[in-house]
Amino acid sequence: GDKSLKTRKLKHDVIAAIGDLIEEIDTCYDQISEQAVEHIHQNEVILTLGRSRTVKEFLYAAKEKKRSFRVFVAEGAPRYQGHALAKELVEKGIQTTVITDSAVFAMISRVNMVIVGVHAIMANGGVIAPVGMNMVALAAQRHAVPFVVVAGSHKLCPLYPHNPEVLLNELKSPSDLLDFGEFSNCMNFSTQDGTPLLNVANPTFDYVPPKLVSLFITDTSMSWGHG
Amino acid sequence: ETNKGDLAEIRNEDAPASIPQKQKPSKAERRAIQEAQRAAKAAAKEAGLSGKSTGAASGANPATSKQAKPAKISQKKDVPHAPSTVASEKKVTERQPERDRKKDVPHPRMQFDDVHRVEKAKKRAIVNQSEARNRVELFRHLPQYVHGTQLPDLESKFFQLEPIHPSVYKVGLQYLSGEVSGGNGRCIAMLLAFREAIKDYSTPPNKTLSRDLTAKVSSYVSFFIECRPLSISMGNAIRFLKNRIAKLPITLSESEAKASLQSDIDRFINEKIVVADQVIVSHAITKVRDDDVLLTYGSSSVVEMILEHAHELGRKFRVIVVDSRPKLEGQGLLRRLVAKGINCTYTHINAVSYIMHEVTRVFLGASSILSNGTVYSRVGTASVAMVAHAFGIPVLVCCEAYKFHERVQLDSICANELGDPDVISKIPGRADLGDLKNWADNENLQLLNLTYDATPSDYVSMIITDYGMLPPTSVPVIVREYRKEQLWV
Repeated sequence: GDKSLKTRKLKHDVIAAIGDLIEEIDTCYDQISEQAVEHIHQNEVILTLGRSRTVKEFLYAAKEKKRSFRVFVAEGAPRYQGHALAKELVEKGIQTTVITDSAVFAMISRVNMVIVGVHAIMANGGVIAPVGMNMVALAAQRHAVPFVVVAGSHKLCPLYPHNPEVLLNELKSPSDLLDFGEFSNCMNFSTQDGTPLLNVANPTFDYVPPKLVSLFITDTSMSWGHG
Repeated sequence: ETNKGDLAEIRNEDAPASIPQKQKPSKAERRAIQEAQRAAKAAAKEAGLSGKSTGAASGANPATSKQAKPAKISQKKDVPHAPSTVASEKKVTERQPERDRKKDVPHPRMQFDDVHRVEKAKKRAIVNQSEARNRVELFRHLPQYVHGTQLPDLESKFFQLEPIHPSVYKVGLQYLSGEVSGGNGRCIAMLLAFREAIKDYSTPPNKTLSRDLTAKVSSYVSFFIECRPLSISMGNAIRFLKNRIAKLPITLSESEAKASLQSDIDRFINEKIVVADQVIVSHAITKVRDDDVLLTYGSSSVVEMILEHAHELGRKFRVIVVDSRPKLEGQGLLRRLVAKGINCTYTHINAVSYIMHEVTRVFLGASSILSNGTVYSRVGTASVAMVAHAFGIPVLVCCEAYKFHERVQLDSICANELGDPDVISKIPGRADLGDLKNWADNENLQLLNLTYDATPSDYVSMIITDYGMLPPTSVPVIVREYRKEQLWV
């Protein structure tokens, strides 16, 4: 009697809390996108890498408010999600140019702002982002282009990144980079000292230190910069 | 043929009308013709007919317009064209030392958003090029044409084009198809084609060898530009060849002159490329120590030689090859290194931040090094150098001295080469990613395929050339000294 009542209340509370979290995640896009007009004005050139739904909604909102801008999308190898984002942006009539990741440094001199989405924001203000983001952040710093991170508050993480390249990373299959076939017999471990002749590195994430990030835009209706 | 003769004469003139005309101190008849044309130019200018200071409109510079035409042609074609501006600028600067060794204002480069000049160039084109749709606004000054149509077209015309020597034609096709690529490879192929053409050349009656041969070489060069814009190494080699042709003593017989030119070409290839590479390798080998982890980007012929030589000497090191789309040149280098038994790691350019803390040295190749120390190289080199610099790792750029150029470039946009945009939409081996399949239908969507980029000199720790190991600030000194030596060669 008493126990089953407590269990039911507990279940109810847990389900309610999960529902709150889901709602928070679902509504973060709207709250972040509301701030788009404060940052995107007229004749802007924006650079992004890969595909982030938050960035997409952010740019859609700016377009709704009749702000004029064009977007350079770096394709984001090896997932090439930049292609999908480009397709979504042109559907709304946004001028988009798809570039390769190697061309980021070349094009960034003509860019006003870099807006990216991230995987997680660490406690020191650094971000874990799709691979290649550190390169973009360094290029942006070199050309004094603001590097803006848009992320829902559910991505804030209380951990401090120690050796994030290794500990907070995922290494994926070499097949994204090299075809199985001519190189596969170089990648076995049967050489003299047990090390393969060929290694392939295919990390998923990059760590961007806090000093490279100009601004965080989150759904707590308060934009804050770091350092 | 008279056309070519005229061209030769006009080529001997100062190209732009704005530059004070200097006489070639050799032939009186040429001088008379030049004076007449100069008078015509001046008259046309006063009449307000010349629209451009580059003198294209006045027609007094068919040489310029001929340069412009190949430039425009290359502009129109999707075939990756190096800025023909580079070529035209080279031709101008080629002629400058012949006249008087003063440093004149460089000829403004061919800009492909000038409709008038583009139309003129199109009329003279050998290769049919059609302009690409969805051109990127920022790069309207560079040629961009539809790819994939020129090669079959040129192949079908193979037996119809008499003025083009077959070996030149063959090399042009190799450029178009991408079989021959890389600064050294393209330059050597071009010079060997010229060597063959010179061997088979015979002076037509009533023409001087030097003028006619120069005109012939210019026509071959414009054909090459139509296939693929010239690289800076090729431009420098052409300048050298024209210089040698112009310096031929009048007393030589035709066979002697041809033999002399052929030996000049052989000497250039040997001294400036083959031996230079060996010298670079011997310098660079001192920078490779045991337990080094060397990173390289793309596929550079010199860097490959360094790594192979170090491996032969028994140094213990491993190599990280960084690659990028769309050319994926690193895979070729990887294949050759692994075949030699060198321990390699392969990754893509986005992962360069991840891999950089293992690295001890970065070796990069270059297409050219400009006067302010900027390294003009395959797109992505700047990003690799930047990340290496951020991690405090020395960046060594290996480049033969003949590739240096006296121009200066502030960013990667003022001069570049646009490749085939379709290659970006198609990803080999990933047929599931078809988001950009019909990109050309959508006017809001453009694809940009850059070939080169400019790495700022502060990212470069040292440049290794056949003149030694120098800091980036020493490049203008080499350019000055190198050009003087070239004239005495």
